[in-house]
Amino acid sequence: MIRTILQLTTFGNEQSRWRLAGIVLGIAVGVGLLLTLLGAAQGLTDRDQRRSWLNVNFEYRLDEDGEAYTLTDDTVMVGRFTDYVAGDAIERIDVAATQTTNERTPWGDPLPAPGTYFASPALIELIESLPGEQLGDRFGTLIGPIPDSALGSPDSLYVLAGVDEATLGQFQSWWIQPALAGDASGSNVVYRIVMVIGGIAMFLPVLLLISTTTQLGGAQRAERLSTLRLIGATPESVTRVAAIEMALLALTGALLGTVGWWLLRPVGARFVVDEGRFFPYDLDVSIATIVAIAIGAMLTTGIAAGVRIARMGIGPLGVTRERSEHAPSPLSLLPLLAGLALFGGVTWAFKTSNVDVMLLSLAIIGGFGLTSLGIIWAGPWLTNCASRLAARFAGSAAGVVAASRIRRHPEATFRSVSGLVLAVFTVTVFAASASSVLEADDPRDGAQVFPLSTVYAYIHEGATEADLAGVEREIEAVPGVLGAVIAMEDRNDPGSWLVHRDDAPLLNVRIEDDRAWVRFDAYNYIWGEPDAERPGQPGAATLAGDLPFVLMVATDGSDGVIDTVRTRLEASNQMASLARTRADDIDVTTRKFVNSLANLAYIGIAITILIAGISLTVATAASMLERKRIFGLLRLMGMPNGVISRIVAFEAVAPLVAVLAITIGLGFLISWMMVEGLSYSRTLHAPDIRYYLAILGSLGLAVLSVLAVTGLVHRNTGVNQTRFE
Amino acid sequence: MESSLALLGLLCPQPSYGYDLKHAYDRFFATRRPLAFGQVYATLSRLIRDGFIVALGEEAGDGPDRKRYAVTDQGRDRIGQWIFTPDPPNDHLQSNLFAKTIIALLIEDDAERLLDLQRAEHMSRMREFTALKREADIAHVLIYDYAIFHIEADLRWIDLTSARLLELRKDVAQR
Amino acid sequence: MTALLTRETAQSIPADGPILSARAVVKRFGQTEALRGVDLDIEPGEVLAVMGPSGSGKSTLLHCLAGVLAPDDGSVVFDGIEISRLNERQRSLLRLNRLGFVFQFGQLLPDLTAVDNISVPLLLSGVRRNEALKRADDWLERLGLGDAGQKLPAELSGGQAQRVAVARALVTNPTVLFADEPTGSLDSLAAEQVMNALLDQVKAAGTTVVIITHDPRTAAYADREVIVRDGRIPAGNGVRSA
Ligand SMILES: Nc1ncnc2c1ncn2[C@@H]1O[C@H](COP(=O)(O)OP(=O)(O)OP(=O)(O)O)[C@@H](O)[C@H]1O
Ligand SMILES: [Mg+2]
Repeated sequence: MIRTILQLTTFGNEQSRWRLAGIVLGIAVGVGLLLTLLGAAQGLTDRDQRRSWLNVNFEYRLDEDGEAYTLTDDTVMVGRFTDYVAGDAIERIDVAATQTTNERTPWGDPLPAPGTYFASPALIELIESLPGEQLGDRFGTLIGPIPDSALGSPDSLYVLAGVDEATLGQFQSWWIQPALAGDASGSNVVYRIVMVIGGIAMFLPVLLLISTTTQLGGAQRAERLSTLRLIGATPESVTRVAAIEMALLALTGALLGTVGWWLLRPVGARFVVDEGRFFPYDLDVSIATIVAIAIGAMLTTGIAAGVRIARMGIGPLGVTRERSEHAPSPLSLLPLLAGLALFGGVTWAFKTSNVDVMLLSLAIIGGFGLTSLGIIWAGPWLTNCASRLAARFAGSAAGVVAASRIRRHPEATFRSVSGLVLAVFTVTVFAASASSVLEADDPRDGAQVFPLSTVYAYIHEGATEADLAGVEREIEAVPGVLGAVIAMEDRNDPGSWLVHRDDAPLLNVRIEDDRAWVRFDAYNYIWGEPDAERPGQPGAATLAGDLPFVLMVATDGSDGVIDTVRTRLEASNQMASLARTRADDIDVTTRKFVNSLANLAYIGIAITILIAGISLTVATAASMLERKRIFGLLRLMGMPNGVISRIVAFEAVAPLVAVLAITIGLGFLISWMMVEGLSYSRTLHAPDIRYYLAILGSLGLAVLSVLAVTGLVHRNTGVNQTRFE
Repeated sequence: MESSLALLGLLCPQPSYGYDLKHAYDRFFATRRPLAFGQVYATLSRLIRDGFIVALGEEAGDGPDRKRYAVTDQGRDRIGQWIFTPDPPNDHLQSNLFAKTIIALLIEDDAERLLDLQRAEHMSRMREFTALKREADIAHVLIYDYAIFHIEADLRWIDLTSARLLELRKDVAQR
Repeated sequence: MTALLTRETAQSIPADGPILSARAVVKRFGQTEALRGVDLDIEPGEVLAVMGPSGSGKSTLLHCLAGVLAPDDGSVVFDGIEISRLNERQRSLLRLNRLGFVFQFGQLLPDLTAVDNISVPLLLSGVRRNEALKRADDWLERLGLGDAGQKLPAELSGGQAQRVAVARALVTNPTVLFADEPTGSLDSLAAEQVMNALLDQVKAAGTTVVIITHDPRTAAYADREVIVRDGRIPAGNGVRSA
């Protein structure tokens, strides 16, 4: 019997085949998405593990007895730096060991001898592409690549350089630890939060799409099922048929989704996440997981379909329960308010006390999920309010028809646009939060501000004046270098630098009076804050005990010159730090991170908006074709052609307008809470251009979908297309 | 319809004068031809004779229209017996129209035309009744309904027969 | 010619001769010849019943007369306009302003209240909402539906729904009302109420009516009936012999 029923209801006609295709595709997209997200999460964990050796740990500096380690055959001396080249950051570890050391690299090779180094393949490529004096000379001689097993990403720029104990000892920071190893840090917590949130945001529209396609041709299907009931099918068999049908479709969809995901994995691995692309195998998901997802999809969709049919109560004489919706109540705002309250609570808790990061991220994810669901939940009520308002003012036939439809079916009409609404909500939250990073840290040049083109490095305490003069001379010989300046540290006022007035113009500092030395606040200066010259006491007496503290090199700002200067400074062995510029400190780390995140997020958002647009089109088309006869009748009555387009547009636009403004507002509110509440110094800025593009894209898709559906309805409701009796 | 029983029935609710009785009768039952006074009094005296009604005391003046009549128990029994005895369905098996149709077929004349003519006749009668019914009060509406449904029965027979003419023609030709 | 498509001019021209006239109308659907040369004249203010066996072409004829279907051959002239010469837009205008339609069932917009349903044709022809609602209310009253105005079609009885449909068809004061089995799904009493209401209104307004029906009792409300058989109207039946 079940086979007969399936044959009659599932594969019956063209429309039911469309429905099948829609469901299978929807589930395939959902499963593919889920696998991608799981794979990426797994990939991030693996990556964290592989690069853990870079996280050399302060705790290693003391042994069990609380004594500092000394350099023996069983310990290593480690300096952990970030080096820069042409705007890219290089993760750099300098290691010194005894001649007879037992220690090895994390991948098992002997440690590099002083003057030799291991580098990641991407860095080796970079070194080879640049003149030695710009990059390669900083590390010495290459002895081999760092294997993939110790790399986060194929794009990782890592170097493990061998140095001698004395040279490393000149640096400001180094320590001795029992092995070249570290703990896997949760360095990408932010990534994980964003990925889970993004997953929620992308998944909900997919679910909505599936639920929409499931309901395609629902009325006809119900009619057929009730005919079958009339000729003797039992209620259980009808329910079972619905469940089995859906489970089979889900299985097909899951298979298709898995195949699609497998084929598209190389594409997925191309996206830059955090420090770079994934290795293709990073995105792998275990067979067990795939099977579990397929079974999960079958069970959930099958049970949901069965329950829905059972609840519809299909009797022998048609659907027994009247399928008109009951009016939504303002109580449906509650989940949304709960979500906002959760966010507010988290922010407040974070501001007032110490909150565990894990707990915090869970709360943020929960708050986001709850708010998203809350918007979907509250949508019908808002739509209903808007339609009532519209119905009062509607003067045209299209307005009256559409407003009445919305009023009777607020859930169905809102469901059509809910995907788009969610997409807009997510993109708003994301874009607004990202703006706080992208805007705030834009480094600029200006008066009384440390020039971006100047390279600086701290001077090693033991450096003699002759040594320094040699370094200065060598550096000033580099073409493109405007001059080198040595600043002294003021012992009476630590944190202040003293610079000779002849050197001031090179550093973009103006001096009004005739003092020989000027003193200024190093911290503000280096961080780009304009600093009024401090009143100092110039004179030889003050200068007697002061030491040369920092060497600053003014350049023409080109990458090649800056990198050459860095190489010379680092190779001089007179410095206590690597050479850097002001831009290094800000730009590369956070901006690159946020940018890669933003790129990823906007790709996700584009996909989500596309899915939501398809969902809108399908839902609108279904709701229009269900009323095909009525529209045909209206046309028979002489309804002008334009009216149908206006009805379609009204029904799609009214719920969008009703909810979109509120959604955008909520998005900004939430990101304001996150940014102002959860970070110390950032503020919200206007989102970047991609945000507006995303919003425009959403609206454009809505318009396209209305146009497409209008055409479809026109073709299907021609007066001689429908028979009237 | 038996007019004597109808008159007896009209007396059942309360005693009445012959004059009023005639008008009540006309209102309910005589759509086209009113009852003659003579016929009323003849019927009433027959009913007195049979013991179904009695004439109540004569009042001032003389003549039959000054008498009031009341129904007896026997009369009530008679009415009860009458209204609860179902009428046999009319036996229309050998109607004129049926005969005409068969003959038309036998002499190979245009049976269809015959049926159309009859339909037109029936329809025009039905239109007439429908128009009257639209003006009539509720009691008369019932009468017209009755007539209209009977005409409709004939019309439906005519429609069906004309749809079956082909088959009929074959059958008649074979015999 | 477009001027003739609007109601205003229709009332100003005293019609003389048939308002609607079909000559040798042929309509085919693939192999099926649904109409095989129909001649029919309909006088202004006349109520015409179209009868005939199922599948004989009644609905097809009505659709041709109303300009919904274009005949394959022959002509249909409405109030001096050759309908087949009009384009789709003009025919829409014609139907909106001068023709009304009632069908067997399922013709009301399910989401709209009775009174909104009636007001739709008025809104379509550009009447303001308030005015349209007022006129719709008036029509409800006239058809004895005074208290059903705010009900949805699903909450109306079959007879009430048909009367709402009649009101909707008549609210624009059409020249011709086409009804295809308007009482087909009603019991006798409801059918009678619908027909009485319809006739009261069309007789008062002088509207021409074409009713397709299988039911002789409904046909008996008409002034005249024609029978369609095998896509034809028997000679002398549709057109008065000159
Ligand atoms: N759109 C169409 N496509 C194909 N054939 C059609 C179409 N419309 C009508 N027909 C055919 O034309 C013929 C006449 O149909 P029509 O609907 O006019 O009959 P009718 O007299 O209205 O019948 P009924 O009384 O059953 O409504 C029928 O044979 C029908 O099958
Ligand atoms: Mg028909």
